[in-house]
Amino acid sequence: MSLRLLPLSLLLLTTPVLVAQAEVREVVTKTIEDTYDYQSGSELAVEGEKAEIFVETWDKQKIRVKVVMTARHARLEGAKTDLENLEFITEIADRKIFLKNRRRDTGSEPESELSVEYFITLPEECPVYLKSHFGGATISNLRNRLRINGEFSAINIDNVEGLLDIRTRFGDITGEKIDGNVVINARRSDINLLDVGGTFTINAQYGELKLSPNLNMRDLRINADKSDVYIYEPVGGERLAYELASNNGEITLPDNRQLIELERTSEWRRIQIGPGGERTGTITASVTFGDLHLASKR
Amino acid sequence: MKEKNYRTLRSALDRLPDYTPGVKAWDGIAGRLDRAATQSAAGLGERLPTYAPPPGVWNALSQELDAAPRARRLPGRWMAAAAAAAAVLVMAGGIYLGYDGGPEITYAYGQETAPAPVVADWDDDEASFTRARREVAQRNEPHLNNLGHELDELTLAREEVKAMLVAYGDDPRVVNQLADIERERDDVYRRIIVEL
Repeated sequence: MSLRLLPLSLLLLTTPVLVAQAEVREVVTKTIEDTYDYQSGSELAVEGEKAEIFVETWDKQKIRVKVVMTARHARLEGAKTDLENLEFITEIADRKIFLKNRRRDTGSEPESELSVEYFITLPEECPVYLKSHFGGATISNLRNRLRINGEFSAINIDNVEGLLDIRTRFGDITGEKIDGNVVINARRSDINLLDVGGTFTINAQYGELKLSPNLNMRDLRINADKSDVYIYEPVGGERLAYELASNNGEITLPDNRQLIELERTSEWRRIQIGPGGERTGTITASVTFGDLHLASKR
Repeated sequence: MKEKNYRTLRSALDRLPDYTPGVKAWDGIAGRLDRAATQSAAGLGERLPTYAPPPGVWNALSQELDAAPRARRLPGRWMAAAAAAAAVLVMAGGIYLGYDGGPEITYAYGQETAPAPVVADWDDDEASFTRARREVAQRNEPHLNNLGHELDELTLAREEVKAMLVAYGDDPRVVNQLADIERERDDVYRRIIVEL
């Protein structure tokens, strides 16, 4: 290498290092772990603010809670200071365990990027109530009662049975293997459910609904406004009966499907599809200012 | 031995007549028993043989007697201290068994590559939105009013997301949520403009 190229080489070698150093930030994490005895009648309530809440189950009669609060800042002291403004609160009343995170001084504007995570492990029969304002909730394997009140929070549900009551605003719902009595009220949220059965009532505004019921679906009622709805028939689901209605939208159906037109105007259409044999379940959908699609299993 | 004809015997015994003893009979029996006891006790004591214990028995007894007074002479404050120590141990044991240990808190420190800073002025077009909203209110037509309500809802959501960015910092996921809402607002705005 000639001497003339040496300065250039040194510059090329040091520049990425300097850039990398400028992009590094400090991460301070505070982890709180605790375990509570579970008794019949216990219930867990979590109120998360900008928190990712993960709920899983295990065989032990204990409720284990791990909360991870993180501050990210260019300076270590800044991260430490902002992290101390995050507060985790626990209250136990009777058999109710209440967990919550908040900012101590709501007037302060942190320079750090702050986040909170809950990792909760509990018996599958433990009723759970989650309130989430920003962040998200991921729940799996519960078997009793689950209530979620979410805003700006993505909700993921996997393999859950029992009573479900979900209310969400600006937070999409994704679910798989859900069976039970389910009520969903969603606004400005997309809903994507796969392999679901039982009794479902879904009210939605301003969203896209993609629903794949299984053969255990007994009663699915959908009331959607300014939303597109996709219903995917299960394989072997010919014995499901449908009543579909559309106001200012289109209804699309699989080919060669025999249907009965109940009402039809330029804006309003209501049809019925009978079951091919003894009826196993009923799907009722009413969509206003949106399209309704019935299709084969995706 | 088991009585084979229990019922027969029982009925025969039940048929036997009852006799009540005279009042002096019990006093006489009691007096004879007392005299016999005193006389036989004196006689028995005299008749018992006498044995000398082996020396080892007395030596062991002597050692026990020597040790026993020292144990009994424990000072009062030592007794109190022992009792207090025992009480503390019992309480500690009880607390240990009944207490779940409380939360465990740990801190960790690290570094990571910082994401590119968010450079966006979310309020650039607010004047246009405000004008459109004012126009909708002035026109006061059903379809436009519905669009106006949609715009209001999205504007409110936008403010909530912006407040979260202030409260918890510029999380890229929250920034994306804000961008999504802004796109929906733009869509409603365009529909309003077309109607106007």
